Amino acid sequence: MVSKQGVEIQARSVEEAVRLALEQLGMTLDQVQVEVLVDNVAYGGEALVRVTPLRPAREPAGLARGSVQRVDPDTENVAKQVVRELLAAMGFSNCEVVAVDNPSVIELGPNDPPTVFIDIFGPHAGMLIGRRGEHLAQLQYMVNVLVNRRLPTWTRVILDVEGYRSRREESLINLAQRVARQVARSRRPITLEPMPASERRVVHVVLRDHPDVTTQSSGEGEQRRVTVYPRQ
Amino acid sequence: MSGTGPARPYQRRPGRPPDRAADPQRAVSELSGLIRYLASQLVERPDAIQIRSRRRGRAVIIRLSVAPDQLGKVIGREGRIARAMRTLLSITAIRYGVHASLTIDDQIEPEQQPATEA
Repeated sequence: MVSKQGVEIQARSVEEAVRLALEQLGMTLDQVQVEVLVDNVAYGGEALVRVTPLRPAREPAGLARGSVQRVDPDTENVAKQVVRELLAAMGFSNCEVVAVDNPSVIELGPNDPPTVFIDIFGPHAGMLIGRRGEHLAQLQYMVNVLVNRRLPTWTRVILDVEGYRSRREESLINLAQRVARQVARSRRPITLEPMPASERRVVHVVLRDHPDVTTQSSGEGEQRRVTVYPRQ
Repeated sequence: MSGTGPARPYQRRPGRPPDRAADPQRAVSELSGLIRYLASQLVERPDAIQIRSRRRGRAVIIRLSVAPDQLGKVIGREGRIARAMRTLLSITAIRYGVHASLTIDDQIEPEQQPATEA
């Protein structure tokens, strides 16, 4: 596991995913090994490929994108096993369950618990997302409870369905930047829609170092929302 | 609701699982199976749970009973585990073309009389 400095990318097609991966690695097709982990393009789903350099990439100074902190394979397997069992009990037995690298732009910090990232692909997997990701949130909660009944140390599982969280993160980043520009121009605060904690966090992190705006969450529970304020 | 015409052969709506509306009795056993799986993973003594289910048309009613000292395990802090169970149950119910509800209590009873089949 140590020498693997590959990247996992998903996209609307295998070719697109490989192209993005090569772009990210700065390599050409003959320098890498391509594994197609999931190909649901035919069902209108997504493709997930792992692209691994044949020779380890020259260690760039400092931490590269290769600073993927993945937990040990045994822990990943327990998490995958729980997700598979649960999906089977729910009648989604032909879904594919894969452990992936942290797909978020927000890297794990030293205070984060060991985290397993799991993505689910399958014919009806979209049903598992729900309105505003509510089904996915509940599924993830249950998976965390069940996984931690089997593991000795507290481990967090972040669950995704066909890259929903990544796509959502991308649009949140765009939203945050658009709103920040507007607030900076008008000098008036703007309050966003209520969002779950993980999504609010994206907005806070994206605008953390913004020169003209600050962010603050307010409200309780389901109604908690981010406000973007002009910096004094 | 498209009126009350003659019964048309069942047509699969696009994007819906094929086993939808297949067999409502199967829905009952699948939904009970899901709750049995979840409850047995959550409680300390997996044999000490009781699941009773019945169906009225498209509505499936499931009752999960556990030992009084295990109630917290299936309900969770602020009812979060129970809430997650209900959400997973309703996703699964959609898959089998029914609605489902779950009640949780600590009233385990000795095996029911054979007359009241699930």
